[in-house]
Amino acid sequence: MTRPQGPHDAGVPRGARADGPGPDDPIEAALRAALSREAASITPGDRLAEIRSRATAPVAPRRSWLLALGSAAAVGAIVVGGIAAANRPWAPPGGGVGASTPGQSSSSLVTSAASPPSSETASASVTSRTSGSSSSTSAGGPVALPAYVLVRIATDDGEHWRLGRTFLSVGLPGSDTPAARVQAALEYAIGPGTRVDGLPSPWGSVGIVDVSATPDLITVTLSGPGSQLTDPADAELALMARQVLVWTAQAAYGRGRVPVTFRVEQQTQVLLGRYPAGAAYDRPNSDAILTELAPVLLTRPGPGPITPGDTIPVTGVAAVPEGQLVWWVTDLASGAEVARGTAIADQDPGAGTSPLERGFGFDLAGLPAGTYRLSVGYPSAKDGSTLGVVTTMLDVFAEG
Amino acid sequence: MVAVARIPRVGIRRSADAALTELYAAQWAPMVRLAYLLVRDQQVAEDVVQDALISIHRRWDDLADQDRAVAYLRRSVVNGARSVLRHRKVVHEKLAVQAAQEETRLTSPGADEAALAALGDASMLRALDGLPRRQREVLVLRYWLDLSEAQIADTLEISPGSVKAHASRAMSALRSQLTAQAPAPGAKDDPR
Repeated sequence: MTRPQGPHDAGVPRGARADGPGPDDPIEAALRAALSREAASITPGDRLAEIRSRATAPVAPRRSWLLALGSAAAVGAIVVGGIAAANRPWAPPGGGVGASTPGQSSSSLVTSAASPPSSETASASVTSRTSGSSSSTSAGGPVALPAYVLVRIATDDGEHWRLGRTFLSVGLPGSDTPAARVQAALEYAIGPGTRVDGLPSPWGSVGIVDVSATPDLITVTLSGPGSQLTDPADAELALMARQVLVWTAQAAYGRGRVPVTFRVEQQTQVLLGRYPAGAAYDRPNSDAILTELAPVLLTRPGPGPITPGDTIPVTGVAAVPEGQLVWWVTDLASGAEVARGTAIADQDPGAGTSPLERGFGFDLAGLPAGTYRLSVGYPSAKDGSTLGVVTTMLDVFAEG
Repeated sequence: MVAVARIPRVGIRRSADAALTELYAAQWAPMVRLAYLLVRDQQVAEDVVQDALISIHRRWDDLADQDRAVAYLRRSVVNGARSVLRHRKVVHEKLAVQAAQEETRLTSPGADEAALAALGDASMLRALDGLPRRQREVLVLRYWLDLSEAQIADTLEISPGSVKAHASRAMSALRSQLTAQAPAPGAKDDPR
């Protein structure tokens, strides 16, 4: 029988390896043949155009395994912070970077508190049904919203799924109501722009069909139940995937820990194969929020442009050993690190945060026009490697 | 091993685009097939490799060694496939389909040698799937990609010694499983 060929055929003496059994082992030969036939049974489709299109699209907030893989510093997974409206597929025409609201509103919208601030005003009962499509238009201009996204972080105890926080500037398709804000934030939180590279979203193609919000209950209608994460190994991922919706809905609604419940359109009423949709869900108490939140969260800078030369205030909260933080700025055009420093998280972080969290802040000196990535992490207590890295893009350009 | 030409760093964006094109041309099909052997779903396999290529393009300027782009890509694909398997039970679904097809063939009057070969493959792939994830990855990388122990270690981020141990245990397990499934001596392996 002709031996099936693998991907490396030319001149490779199969089976004649110095580090393995001999070439005549029947099981090895059968395995090699089975793998080769199985691989040859498919013909990969042509995706070059799609890959090029996606690869050259404006960078959405994504976390990359690859960055950690490619870095000698053993950097942990990445949390992406503030972004601009132009980076999102549903950004309205004209709602790009230049039209987004600057970061001044970000910190007032949400903190990493267990109790989101009640800074929003809402009618007693509001309902939003919006498509969130890219063709929608905003009646009142873009609004800044908080959203929590799934992140994979490296810690001294290994890798964990946690919630990272980001701020988006988005044009609402209809009226600017609290429910519409919640829906927009939720669509972003489980949308394609927040996928961890190489990983399917636990929510797959699930969409936010409807949101209704009262001071007593936020009801989110989903188009599907999400992936079946019934494997015990997926417990942490499933919990965080559910909590992405809970944290985001509460934060975007801005009226404190309003319980969140779900409905699933015409399908099983069990979310992610684990959670009854109709139950009321909440974020944990402040002394336990670090079981769900990433150890470093950035609050500022928020979405929006930064003028060249302007000092850039950076703030956030962190629960890290000794409060020590390291940060650096990378010029994305050249790949060069243009600034680096340290900071201490020792400030009062405000009400509702974990007892372990402390606020931090530092200023970045003015940057010339360009796009940069600010990274903030903390040194490992074990080996000094940088862990828990969060990043945010900085768009620096002259307005007008 | 499929080689990728060295890609000069001539402007980050241009370099990233050129790298993407070259990587796609040389590695798209083999990487999709690698992912397919790990997840047994072509669409998912293409998704995994697509994401890996996009990731490399976006992080091109962060790569510690751009000459090792293929190694990064392979590692990213294996990681992506691994994650997919944790979230989707595609292997079991695919093997269930294979088992059903196998049963159909066995009861079909026209079963021939090709069907027997396929039957052997299905048994082998089922046995492979029954192995722990790391052992399965080692065998696929070794017996399909023909990677060396050092290359497998690099891809899986484990030591060469661990590769050797995983491979040894995996082959022992495969032997045991396949021997147990083998027909009794004298039995006629005729599907009809």
